[in-house]
Amino acid sequence: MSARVNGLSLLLYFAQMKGWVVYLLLALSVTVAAYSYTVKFAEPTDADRVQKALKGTDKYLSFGSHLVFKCTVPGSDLFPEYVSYYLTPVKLVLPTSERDTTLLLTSIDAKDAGIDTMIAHSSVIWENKDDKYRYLLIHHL
Amino acid sequence: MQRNLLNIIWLPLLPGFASMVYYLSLLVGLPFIVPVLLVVAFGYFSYRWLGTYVAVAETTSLSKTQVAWSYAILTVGVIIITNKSYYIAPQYGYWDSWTIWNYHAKFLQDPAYRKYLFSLNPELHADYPLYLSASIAFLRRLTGCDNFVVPYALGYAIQLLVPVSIYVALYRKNLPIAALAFFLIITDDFYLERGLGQYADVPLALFFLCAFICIEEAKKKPGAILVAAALIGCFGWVKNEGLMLAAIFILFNIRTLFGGGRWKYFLAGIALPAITLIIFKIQAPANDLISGQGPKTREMLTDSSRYAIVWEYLTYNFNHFYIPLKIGLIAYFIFCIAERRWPSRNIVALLCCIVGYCIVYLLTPKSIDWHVHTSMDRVLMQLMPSFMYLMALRFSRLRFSLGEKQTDQ
Repeated sequence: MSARVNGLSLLLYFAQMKGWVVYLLLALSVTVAAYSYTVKFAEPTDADRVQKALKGTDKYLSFGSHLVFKCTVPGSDLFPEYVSYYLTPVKLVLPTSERDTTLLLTSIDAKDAGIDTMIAHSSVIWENKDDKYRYLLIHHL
Repeated sequence: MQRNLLNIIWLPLLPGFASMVYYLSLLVGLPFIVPVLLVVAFGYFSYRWLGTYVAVAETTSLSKTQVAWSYAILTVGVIIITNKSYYIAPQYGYWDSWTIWNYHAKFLQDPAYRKYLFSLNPELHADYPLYLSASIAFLRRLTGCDNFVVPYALGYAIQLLVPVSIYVALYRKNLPIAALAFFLIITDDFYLERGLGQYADVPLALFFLCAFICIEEAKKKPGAILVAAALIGCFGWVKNEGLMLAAIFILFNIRTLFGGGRWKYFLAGIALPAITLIIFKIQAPANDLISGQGPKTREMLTDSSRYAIVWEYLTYNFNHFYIPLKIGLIAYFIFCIAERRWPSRNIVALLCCIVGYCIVYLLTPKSIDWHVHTSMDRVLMQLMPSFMYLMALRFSRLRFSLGEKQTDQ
């Protein structure tokens, strides 16, 4: 009994909100939160996929270039904004009033007359595709 | 100031110093190793300096039961916030983190891209200060992790430090009150969403809170003024409105900050943030709210409909997102009346900050409806932890029975 009491006293002494105990608690919390974040978002999103596919555009667009994302992916209203802002770090910037260069994302199987018309009136600077989307960087003529 | 509290206040100053030194090193074109070494040296020496010149020995001893309770409460609270963060965390943060902080960070990650930062589309707010952006850029380069874990972990750590600072500052004064303030914040999903969404309002709230804690402690050690001044300097380095908060804070604490030769400590503490901010502001484009002022300013001030809009949103926010704060403030004023004492000077300072925000909204050159709607809930977040701390400090005079009685040595 006495040994238990002494053990508890020792534990409490070290745990008296000493700086290192608080640090340890905070460090553990941040580590667990960061790890759980990586677990929660382990699956690549469409944004990740697009970012990967767009790496080649670096050759055509200098840092700070303005780029408009015109997304035609069905059933994803948030997607254009989501992708554009997520991608901005990839040397591409935001929708502007100068809508001269457009990135088109279209489902690989889609038949879209609007896209076809847009392509017909533009020059295709670059294109890429993966198993889900087709990516076209076009310059409006 | 207690050592463990000082340790916590020291933590947000580290990224503050790192972001300033890193930004200045980019301007001068120094290799990355230079800011890294400076940050390590700052971390080591400032930690030791604080221990020697600011920390004071504990004057209040706690019983074993109280120690066990305080330790258990902190642990449980940290577990709760860690657990909740998993469910609340958005992948890329919210709007501000995509379009401003993380985006600007990308420009600062590569010295070659830095010069493009100020040529951005005005919608991207290149005039916004760089505490978060430069910290993220610095940490990404340091760790080699160019991913979203870095800003998330930084945002998480900052939002964790806010309730922990309040708790550690108060648990020796009154454990139940400290625990109440602690749990009110960590169970507030609105607060957690803003913190995990990587808004800069939460770091500003942390700096503001820590400055109030330091001012309270400055009576014991004048060295705390230096820490307070560094924190005040960081207000403006986090967000532009931090400059207004800094001015109000200084105004209301002018005697504590400058009296009795303490101005030397103040100047020493604020020097680096002030110099960095001035250099940044000289280079950055003009702020849209200030440059948008003109002949219509007077008209805007006399337009009663604008006052009605601001009041409507203010009451809406207090009634929907800040209910504990609203109740706390009512209780605080009742407490003041019962005690026949005036509200503390710093509570009045915080109320003045709210008035300051309202004036900014009244003078906004943008649509006032849009401006108030998109930002008032967040700017009040900058003040909420400080309100909670100062109110809890006053309520800590109340005594509850929890374990053995506290004894002053």
